Amino acid sequence: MLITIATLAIPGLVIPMLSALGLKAKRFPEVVTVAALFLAMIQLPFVLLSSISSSAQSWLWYYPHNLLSFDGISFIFSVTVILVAMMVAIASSTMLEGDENKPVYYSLLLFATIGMILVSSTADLIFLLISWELMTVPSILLVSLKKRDPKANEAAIKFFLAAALSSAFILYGISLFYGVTGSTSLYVLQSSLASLPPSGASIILLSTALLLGGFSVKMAIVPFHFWLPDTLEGAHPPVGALLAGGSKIAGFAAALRVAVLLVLVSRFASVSPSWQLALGIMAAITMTWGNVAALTQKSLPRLLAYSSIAQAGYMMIGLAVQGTAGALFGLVGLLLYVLFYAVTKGSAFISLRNIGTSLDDLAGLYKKAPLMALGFAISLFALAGLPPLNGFWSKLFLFMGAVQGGMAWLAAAALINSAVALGYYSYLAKKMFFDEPLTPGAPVQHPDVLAVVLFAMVFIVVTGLYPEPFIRLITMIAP
Amino acid sequence: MIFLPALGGVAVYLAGRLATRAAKYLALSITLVEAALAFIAYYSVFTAEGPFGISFFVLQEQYPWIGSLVTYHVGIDGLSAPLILMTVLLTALATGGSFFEITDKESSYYALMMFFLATAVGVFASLNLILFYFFWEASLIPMFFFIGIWGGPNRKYASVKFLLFTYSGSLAMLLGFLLLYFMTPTQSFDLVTLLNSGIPGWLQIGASALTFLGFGVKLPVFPLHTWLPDAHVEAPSPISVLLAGILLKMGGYGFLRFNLELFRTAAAQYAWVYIAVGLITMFYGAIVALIQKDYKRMVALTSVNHMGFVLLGAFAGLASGSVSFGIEGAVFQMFNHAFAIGALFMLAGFIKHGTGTRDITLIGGLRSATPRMGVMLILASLAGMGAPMFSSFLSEFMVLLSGITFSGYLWVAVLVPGITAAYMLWMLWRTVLSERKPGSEYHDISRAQIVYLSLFLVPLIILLIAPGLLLSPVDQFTKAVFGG
Repeated sequence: MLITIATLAIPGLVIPMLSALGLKAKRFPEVVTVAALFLAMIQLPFVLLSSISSSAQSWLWYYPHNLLSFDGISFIFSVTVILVAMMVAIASSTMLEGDENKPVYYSLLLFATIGMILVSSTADLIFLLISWELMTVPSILLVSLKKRDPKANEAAIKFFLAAALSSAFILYGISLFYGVTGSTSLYVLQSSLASLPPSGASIILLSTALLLGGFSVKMAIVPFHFWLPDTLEGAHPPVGALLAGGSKIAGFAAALRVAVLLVLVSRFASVSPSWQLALGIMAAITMTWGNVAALTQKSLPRLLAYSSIAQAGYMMIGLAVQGTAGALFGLVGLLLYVLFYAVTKGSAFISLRNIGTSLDDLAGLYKKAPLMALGFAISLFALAGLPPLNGFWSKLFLFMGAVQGGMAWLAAAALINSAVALGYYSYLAKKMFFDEPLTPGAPVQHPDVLAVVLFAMVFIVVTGLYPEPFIRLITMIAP
Repeated sequence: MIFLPALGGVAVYLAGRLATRAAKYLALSITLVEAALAFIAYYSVFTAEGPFGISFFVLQEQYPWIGSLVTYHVGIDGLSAPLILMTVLLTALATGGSFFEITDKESSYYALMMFFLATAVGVFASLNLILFYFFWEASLIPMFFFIGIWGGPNRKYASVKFLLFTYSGSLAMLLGFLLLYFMTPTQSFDLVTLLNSGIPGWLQIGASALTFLGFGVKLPVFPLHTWLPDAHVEAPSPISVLLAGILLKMGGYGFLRFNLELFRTAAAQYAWVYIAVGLITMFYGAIVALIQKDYKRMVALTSVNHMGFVLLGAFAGLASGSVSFGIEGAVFQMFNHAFAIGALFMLAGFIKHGTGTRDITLIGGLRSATPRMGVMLILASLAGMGAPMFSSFLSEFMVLLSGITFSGYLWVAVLVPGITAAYMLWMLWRTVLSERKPGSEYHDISRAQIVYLSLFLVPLIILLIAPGLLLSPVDQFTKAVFGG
């Protein structure tokens, strides 16, 4: 695990240093970044194997066992964020041509990725907070990269305030946990939960709610979603992809591992009024809010942001069914959703670099840039959950989890929402394929973006036709 | 059989990039090969030997797909085999017909046609609920682009409306499938397993109510039909043929396979609901068609009217015990309707090209101006209204008979073919038999187009003479399942 972190951190430090020392090779930051991400990715299976096979005493004396625990869930989340980071790294290549901040951009991207990986594999609450900040602070800087653009500044400030709010929630939750259990370690917490007196249990419930509130800011769950559309509108599209496909995913990782599985399921499996119902209602509100708001948007990043809020609502189903009979389907569905959604949404945001940010830019795109139109439409239909694309399978598993967990109403709400969502997705597809172009001439087609979109297209279709390897992998390693 | 057109679709697109003509002919030859395969498959059902029981499927194939949860399980029986044959033949005809109509973006068009064929055959052949849903939804995407790219002036609205209506309906169906999975002891999506296991009555009612929405939108039944006239009118004629000939049949097949066969108890209990809905749909389609000025809209509403027969026949047959008339009549009706309506829709395109309009009131004197088109229009209309020289007469007769067996009051249904004949004849009287409109300049159809249109009518005549060719597998199916 430490080696993996070092694989990412050392290039993160070296890239800006070397370029400050005068290394001016044109493509050097992105090549090093992608290589580092790739190396980290191939290490992950070994990290997982060693952490499964090793007992509490690690074979490496410096292995920080009390701070990190890398399990199957962490594995899926880490693979996902590294994949998204790679897509972002490749697609930003031509964006920062000649920009003096380019090395810094890639360095920040690497550190944000480290933060996300740590968030999804933490075993200590204070360490969770530190990783959370390691993920957030570079993201804020990435959003504000367009220094002179007032919109980007607004986006960054809004993002900063929301992030501060989220950290405050989390910190308050941690302090209550510490007050009850006397430790911030999740191992200690887990063993002391069972013997808690009822008065302590209610405080734990309150602090869990605070933690979930803090995570919800990153997950963009209504009512903590307000920053997302503004931030994504102001940021560079690839940064938007990182936020919507990366840090949101990390928020889900924290919520799933810490709040839901560790505390709620193990100690409060049956408590009245049930927290499953509360999460289910939040899920239903979030998806409805996101979808209805997306219907009226005029700007593409905002529309995608609202659709990403709605998607967070679907993913919440996976959290809400934990502890019920549908837990396994819910967990498989959630992890599958995380992986498929992150690539799809990342590709959709990255496409905006080659498309433009207004709905009018979409008009007649098929005539101007057929490959982009096809790639964008495929990612939209995958987000809508239309077979034969991969979004269908992850949704199917989540809905099965909801029905089996006794929340058929939630599945029905999600199905109705899918129909609403198809309303705006098909409207976008209509604009791209059926309308005449409003402006002559295609937008600039960046080859790096095309490469990423092409990869996502193949990924979406292939995993849509044959998702079995991923499903088997998830059922094998998920606890 | 499913993979051939799917892979063929890619090949067609690539061929089209090299030469447009290559795409056309490659697509046509794929459909012809597919048709040969369909005949072979049909023959194996036709000659299948008993003992026939519930869930007797031939040519079964089963491979694990998503573990054992969702398997790629396909197979055909006396219900699906005729419909697959119909699908493949009609797609071959529509592909051929596109040579006359489509001049734009041909390689994409023919490639999408192949994908549509794959998904349509998949719908009829799948024996796993999720696989069924997968194909069912996947067929929407090519249709969406067909209507939106190659459609008429109002194509954008029509395509989005089509997609949203059918998608919403299918989501209700999916919920029904999920309930079925979790509430039955077998916990399976496999149709054969479900058919052989008893499903509790209350679950049958709940699930059939949900699937009713899904199939009802497709078929379509009366309050859920509003997407249909828009989609059919805006689509180019070969695509209207596919919409009316195949897509609607998916709804009919769904009703027969799930609401009738799988949810037998609920169907017997609530047959009157289906019969009432079918009857309303028939009357609605017929009466509204009466006042249409647009020829193509009139034909589209004829589809609504004819699909009502399917519901009426199937469920009246089940409730009254006259399954051999009712259910077989329903399948027969679907088959006949596909070809009759296909000819009528292709004529819509030819009339538009020949006369410049589809407005019935503006066209006149086709008898003298364009005699070939006039003759073909008369023949196709006769097939559409169920005149005794075509097998559509037989199927309508069977359906009405089973309706009357169910309840004497259902004689009112006989009015529907009457109304249909009335508006068809009135249309003919105004367009073909009337005087020429002054200043009109019409072009007749070519010989090739006459031969082409006749191909639609040939199966109808063959089946009038020898209906057993189609009905004997269906008969085996109904006897085995419903004991008629």
